[in-house]
Amino acid sequence: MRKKGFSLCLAAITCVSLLAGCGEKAKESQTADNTSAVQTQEQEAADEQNGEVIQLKFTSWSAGGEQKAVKQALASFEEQNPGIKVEAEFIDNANYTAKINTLMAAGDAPNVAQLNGYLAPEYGAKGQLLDLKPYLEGQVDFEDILPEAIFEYDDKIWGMTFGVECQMVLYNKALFEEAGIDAPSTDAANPWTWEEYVDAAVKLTKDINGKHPGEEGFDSNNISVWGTKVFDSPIFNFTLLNSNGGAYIAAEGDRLLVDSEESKEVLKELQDLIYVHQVAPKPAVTSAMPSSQQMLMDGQLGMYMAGQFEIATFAEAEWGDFGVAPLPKFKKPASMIWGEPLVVYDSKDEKVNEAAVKLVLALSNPAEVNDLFVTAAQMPIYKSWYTDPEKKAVWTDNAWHNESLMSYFDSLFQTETTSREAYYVKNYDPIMAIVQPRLDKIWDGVDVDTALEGLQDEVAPEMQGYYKIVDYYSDAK
Amino acid sequence: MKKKQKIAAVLDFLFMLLLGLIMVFPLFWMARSSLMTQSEIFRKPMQWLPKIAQWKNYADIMTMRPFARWMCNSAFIVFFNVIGTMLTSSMAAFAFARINFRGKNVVFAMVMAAMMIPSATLLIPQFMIWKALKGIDTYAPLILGAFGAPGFYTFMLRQFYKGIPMDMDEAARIDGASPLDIYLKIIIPLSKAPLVTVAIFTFTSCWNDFMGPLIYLSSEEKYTAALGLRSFIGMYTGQWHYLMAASTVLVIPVIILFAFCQKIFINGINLSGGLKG
Amino acid sequence: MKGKLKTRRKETIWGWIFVIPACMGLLIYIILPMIYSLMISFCSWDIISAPEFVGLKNYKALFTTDPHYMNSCLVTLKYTLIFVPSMLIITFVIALLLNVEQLKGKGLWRVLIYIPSIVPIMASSALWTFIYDPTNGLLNNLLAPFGIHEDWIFDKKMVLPCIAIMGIWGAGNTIMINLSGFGSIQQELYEAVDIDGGNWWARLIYVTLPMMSPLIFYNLVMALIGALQTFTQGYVMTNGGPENASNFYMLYLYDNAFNYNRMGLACAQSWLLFLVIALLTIFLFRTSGWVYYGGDAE
Repeated sequence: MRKKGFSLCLAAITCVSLLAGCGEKAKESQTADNTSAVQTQEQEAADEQNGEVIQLKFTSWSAGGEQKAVKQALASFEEQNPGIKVEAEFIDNANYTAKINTLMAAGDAPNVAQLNGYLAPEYGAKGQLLDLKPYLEGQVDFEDILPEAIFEYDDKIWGMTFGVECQMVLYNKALFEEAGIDAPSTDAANPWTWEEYVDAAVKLTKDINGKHPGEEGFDSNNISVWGTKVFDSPIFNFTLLNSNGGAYIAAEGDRLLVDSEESKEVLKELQDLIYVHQVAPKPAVTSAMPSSQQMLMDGQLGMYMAGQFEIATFAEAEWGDFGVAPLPKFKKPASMIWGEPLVVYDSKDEKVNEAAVKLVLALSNPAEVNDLFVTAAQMPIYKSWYTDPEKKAVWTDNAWHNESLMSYFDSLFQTETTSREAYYVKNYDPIMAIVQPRLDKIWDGVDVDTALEGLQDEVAPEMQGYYKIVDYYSDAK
Repeated sequence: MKKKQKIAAVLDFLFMLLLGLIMVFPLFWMARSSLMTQSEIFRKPMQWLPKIAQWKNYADIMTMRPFARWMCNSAFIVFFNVIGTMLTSSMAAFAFARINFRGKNVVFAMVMAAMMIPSATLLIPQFMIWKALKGIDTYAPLILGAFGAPGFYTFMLRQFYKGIPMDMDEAARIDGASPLDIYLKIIIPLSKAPLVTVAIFTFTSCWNDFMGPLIYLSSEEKYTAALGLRSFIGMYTGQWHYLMAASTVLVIPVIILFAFCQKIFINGINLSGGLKG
Repeated sequence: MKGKLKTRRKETIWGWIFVIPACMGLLIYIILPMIYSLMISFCSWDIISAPEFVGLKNYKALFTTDPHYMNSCLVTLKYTLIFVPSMLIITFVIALLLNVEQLKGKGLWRVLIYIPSIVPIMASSALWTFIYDPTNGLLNNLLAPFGIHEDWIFDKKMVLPCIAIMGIWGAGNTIMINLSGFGSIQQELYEAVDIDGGNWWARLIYVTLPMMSPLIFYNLVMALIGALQTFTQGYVMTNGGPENASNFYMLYLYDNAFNYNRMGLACAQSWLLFLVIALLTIFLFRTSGWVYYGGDAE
């Protein structure tokens, strides 16, 4: 017994000293890994005062294949810029804001960060971010950049994306042929109508006995092929609202437009897809699973509204047998191009800021971040990369950048697209947090008018105006 | 009588079988998904077995990410967490349960209170404290917490210790033993079972913890395995087959440890009313 | 008299020595941050700019104008009432069944039952989303022959019970604690019951439950504290939906702190929750006369 007690004490003492030693070791290995060591901004400034290496901290939520591509781009950036070292931290998307906020609160904000677009104008207005305009003016051909890539507010540029996304309808070609549906036009200026879309969905939807909705004996609890899906995500439904002249929030950011006649029409049509036409299942509230892509590939889903980044899943499976169509139109064609920006936190040090901007430009250069665009995870922000045949071939020469997709891209840039209201209206997140449960009711089958009753009043305290007035051509007033 | 018992035993066995199947299902699902290609995992109706076992998933996760390194990091952190918790929690629990000292109830109340605070709000101030102590991107914040007698385990041990008859303590005190003697010679030997319990629980929760490492670690090579798991899921896409393979790898040490130790803490101790040893 | 005082003092010193690590941890790691968060709760802070003192405005707003607060309280309360009793009873029963003497393969069952609690949350939430999937998920597939087809976690009435089931499924810890407790009960006590001619019910009522009461109390308190702080499932699986039916208190707090940049509000929320939990726990301790401590509790 005595021995046991003694050895216990000894163990305790050993451990504590080991711990102290390990704490030191951890710090040592930290400084030993010098090339990518963490350095605070004070140390950065000290370093560069010696005319030495500039340390940049970069955060991003890229994962998987995207992350690999970004890492490659960072490596080649360091090669081409021997005076700059980049320490990259990849934080998973779900916890990204928590970490960034913690860093900002402690004064440890990174130099370059990927950021949710609607935060860019907010942080910029509060003086956290660097205005990129004076830096970009000399280095970039603004004519060549897609407008959606630049986050400009009041003559200041708070962020720049390194790639963009666009919306489209993806469909299973084989299922379309089987159902005898003509391939819809890929011309974004002349898309198919909503009625044609619903029609196709009905033809595509089959239960396990091969019956279509509306036919005698159709069993809606045992569907083998769904025509389409209704998504909960505001970003797709927003474009449809726009197409009918509606929107979620007014551009002035002082009231909702989701309860306008135009908007309600669209919401009702979406609801009908589920309950009247029975061509779509109820939207899953949150699903991180790639079920839509998988279902499409497996022939269990006919078509659905998607972002082009979903093609990355097809790329991984090396499947190119899908067709692309613009979003169906209500009153006028509507589509959206968007991207989340990279921002530069103002380090108050000229040299560091310059280096940071260089990094941003390098990351958005398709020649550097090749893989990102090849896998269709992102689209290049420079127009020349769509028109110049040589550049184009670099990222589109594969099975999934098929004819359908490319002809859609071509027409997309010729048409006017709408803007993402999240980036321009203040307090977007809390406002939508109040709207969302009402939309849930609609997906649950509640009458649209009833579901939205009293919403304006409920939301009123959260309305805070706008960062920038954009015209996303809503007719609703 | 005997027949009744036998029937009961058989029914019990069947029930356990059913329960066991339900409980092991996630492990099965994880393991089978880890051997599939990405597209096979979520196919409906569910595929019970992969067409071809994709063993390369396991090779891939080791090469694509420094997963082996991450697991070593996890082991390092977990080891100290277990030691720290076992040591300080049992000390504090002993004091709460068996020493009568001034201010005991206040301190105990605070230890309890510490468990009731939503961690989200402590996140930022704790981070700032560690920043001031230069502990960011080190393992210090992830280990030293365990040396502060975490409430969960302190409370549990206190309950255990309160269940041990006091006459042993009293006898020892009459003999002139100090609380330290009582702690080392009487209580510790008797608390093998709860201590092993504490060790296992600490191991498990620390092994799977990602929030702490997420906030405090920024260098990739310092990541723990649980944190590294998250690197497989992106904003729009995810590499689920790798995630499953990594999860399976992560789960195995815990299962082994548990299988090894479970006899010890289940059999517990037999307080046959007298001093042991 | 003097002798007694001296021992008392010695006891006090020893007591404090033993709790030094606990105190240090508390002070640096808990008390200081708590004071900080208390101060922030009286401010309006968006993390980017400096905090701005606003007095009790946050607290007032939560109870009056805040659109989600009262709902999140209700959700959490509902969940706690569903989860805690059912979890405590089920885990106790399972532990009892697992402890039956003639049961074969005990070691195996224990390992299997513990497994769900160690599966990483990312993997288990993917699994459960699949199980609960209304279109083609495992549950609906299994129940289809019985004509049952539900929306599970996508149905606002069922989402909380569904999450509770997940919680119970992962409660291997509690079962193990119970088993550990059973093992510590003295055999003689059971023998005494047998001698008096008691059956399994008597053994349960007169020996098992009383001797297990310290641990039952522990499980009760921990389950309450845990249930009131439920976060993960809402965060990973339902995002608070459908129709805010699973918008747990902690989930809303997290949103306020990190998504809406309303740190002051979040801190106010956390202090309110803390008060509730603290009062509840004090109440439980005060009314814990039913707990039998074999060690002649002071």
